[in-house]
Amino acid sequence: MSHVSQGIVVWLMFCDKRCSSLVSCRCSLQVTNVKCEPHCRATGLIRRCVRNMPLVYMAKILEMNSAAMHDALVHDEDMGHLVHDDWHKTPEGKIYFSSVLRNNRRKTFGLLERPSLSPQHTPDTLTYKVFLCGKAGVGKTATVSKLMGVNVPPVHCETPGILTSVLYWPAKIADRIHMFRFHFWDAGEQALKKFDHILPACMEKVDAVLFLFSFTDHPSFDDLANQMSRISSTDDGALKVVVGTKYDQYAHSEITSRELQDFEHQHKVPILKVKNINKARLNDSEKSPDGRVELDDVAPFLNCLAERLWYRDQIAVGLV
Amino acid sequence: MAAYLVCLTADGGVPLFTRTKGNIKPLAFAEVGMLNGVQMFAQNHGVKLQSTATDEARIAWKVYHESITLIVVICDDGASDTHLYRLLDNVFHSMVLLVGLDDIISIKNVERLKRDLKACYKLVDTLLEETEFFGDLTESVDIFLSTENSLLQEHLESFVHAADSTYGCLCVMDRIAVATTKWWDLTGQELVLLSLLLRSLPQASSRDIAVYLPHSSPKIPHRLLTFQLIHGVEACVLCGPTPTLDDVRDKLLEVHWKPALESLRSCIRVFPRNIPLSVELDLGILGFILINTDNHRCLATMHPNSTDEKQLPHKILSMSRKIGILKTFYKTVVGIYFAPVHSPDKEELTCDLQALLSHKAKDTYICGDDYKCYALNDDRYQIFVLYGSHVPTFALRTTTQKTLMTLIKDKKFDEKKKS
Ligand SMILES: Nc1nc2c(ncn2[C@@H]2O[C@H](COP(=O)(O)OP(=O)(O)OP(=O)(O)O)[C@@H](O)[C@H]2O)c(=O)[nH]1
Ligand SMILES: [Mg+2]
Repeated sequence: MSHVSQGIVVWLMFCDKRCSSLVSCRCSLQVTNVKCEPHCRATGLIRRCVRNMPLVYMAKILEMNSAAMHDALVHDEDMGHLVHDDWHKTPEGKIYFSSVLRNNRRKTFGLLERPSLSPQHTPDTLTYKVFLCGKAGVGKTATVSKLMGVNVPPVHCETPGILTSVLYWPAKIADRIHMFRFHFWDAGEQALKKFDHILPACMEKVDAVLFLFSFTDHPSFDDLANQMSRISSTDDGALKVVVGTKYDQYAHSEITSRELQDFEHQHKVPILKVKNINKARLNDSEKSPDGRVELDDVAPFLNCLAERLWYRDQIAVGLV
Repeated sequence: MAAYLVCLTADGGVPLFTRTKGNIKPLAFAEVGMLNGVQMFAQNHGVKLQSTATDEARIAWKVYHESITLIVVICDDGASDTHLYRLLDNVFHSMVLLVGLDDIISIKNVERLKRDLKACYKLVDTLLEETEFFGDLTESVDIFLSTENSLLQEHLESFVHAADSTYGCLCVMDRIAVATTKWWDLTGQELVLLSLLLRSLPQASSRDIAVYLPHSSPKIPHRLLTFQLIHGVEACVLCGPTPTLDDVRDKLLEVHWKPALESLRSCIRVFPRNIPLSVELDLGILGFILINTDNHRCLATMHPNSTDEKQLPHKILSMSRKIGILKTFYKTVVGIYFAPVHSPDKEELTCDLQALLSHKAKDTYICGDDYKCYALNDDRYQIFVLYGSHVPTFALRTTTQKTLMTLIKDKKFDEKKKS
């Protein structure tokens, strides 16, 4: 197995000793000369991998070399199969999602709060910083509102700085339940250009960058390459995903599917599509969106993001 | 109430933006030109055009720093012109708040300014909207009283100090519960506009917004950081280039606020009364606005009584009706009988009745079909109380006085402004 990178060897060792303790994990890292700081995040991950890796999945990784591994991040056929997309509708899923709903409305949590679940249903929390960028008016703020399950702003109001939002999302990946804590960073494009401190603040320790374009605005699609190169010096191996907004107005799309395919292929990034509209509203004073309907709407997007971030972490342990 | 707000460059009359409120057709370009033309014509003949009235609407003009002209056209609700100018001042200072004074008073590139001013649209629209807040009307910031305030003050001070700042406040449901001395030293208008800015932005776990304080620092931006501690409670701090948002959140938030969690939770329970349950108020009171004109604080509630209003012997008024009545009452009293609260750079308006009177009005009241209102002007307080129609008119004065006394017993509200 000479073509297999050091990182993979580590995986193999884990695979062999499925129940090895944390200490022996760390030893094996040193044995293979992989410079892996035994800090808690890595060890935590290792521990999780060892416990969760389905064997088939492991075998798959073993056959890759490190170059292919990078591609695997974005092109792996496994993507979309590790996560149970309709899980939030299952009896098991409902238990977990009850912690993020109240009276059929999505709950928002302050920074000192978190969803409360009974002790036997307390999954580990995985926190990720996700930065949204893209031309002014493409729908960054609207996308965050949609994902958070609050009313989408009906007209474009420039965001005069950074807004961050914490979203708790329970997901079942590779048969294990996790509580994802997405921390979305949304910066207004004008403010970002005007003040120097904004971009570095958003890129600091970022786990994923979402590049947004609007289906009804071709210049925003042309701007993507620009956006990607702007952060390339500081992205630190962050997961990159392209997001097309206003997919509900696909009839007026200015971007052909051919263009999308080419872009996906050239930049090796997945492209997700969102419809930032609230279909059903509750009859309360704020006319807030119906929490359950919103969950259905955003589940594919958030599950996909969760899965890719989780997968990226698994690989990072091997590639550090 | 429908309204138009027009912003143009003062010398060329180039439209910078127009905001429209209500279901009315947008102003045509020619109409904007005409509105500006009249004012220019007057100016060229050495006359300053201030305001005018049509059958249904009032129009006011004001030029700022010989650079920006603001024009408002608004349905006539019998309010004095003071309130039109206050609206225009608030709009102008909102522009300063987000764009900075330099770019506004020396316009180098009109197209760029136009683009930059887009950032203020939401804030300006919030000023035109009818909200449950009174700050922009009274130029005194909406506050929130709770029995936890003194404890929360300590947490706030240590938090703000740790963030290397002296400016900070804690907001409960968008009203200031506690703030540092420095924060209170900001002008009434700054306090109001900062609160308004936070309210106009989408809800967020944390924010990092560059602001130019209209009076204290109109040319150098500061960073306004906000952190949502629990649902409805936000800690805010004003700082320079450091610390970063991440630094404050990761290193300071838990340390300084986690121990206060229970206080924060019990604090929020006081909403929507906005005053502690221990403060007892007359059952005939349906709502009030109390203003401390000295330290620019405004305490208002539309839920004065914990008892179910259905059990009380008066007709139920909806929340928005109560607010509407009190706002209209305020606008017809202040600027005509009572002096308005002034921000530092405001010009005296000679057309106001109260400026012409040799004596000061102390009380005034009106009786509507299903309500009564009483206002009292006392030294540095103004209180406007809405009563149910069953309360006898002769009792309004003493009840209002008693209510004022009860409320100002709370030291937080009475606190003198230190300068
Ligand atoms: N129909 C539809 N409208 C959308 C969608 N996404 C965004 N919008 C609208 O697009 C407009 C602009 O959205 P924002 O989210 O405010 O834009 P932004 O990217 O945050 O812009 P800046 O903060 O200025 O950088 C809003 O009026 C949204 O309602 C979508 O998926 N469908
Ligand atoms: Mg935005």
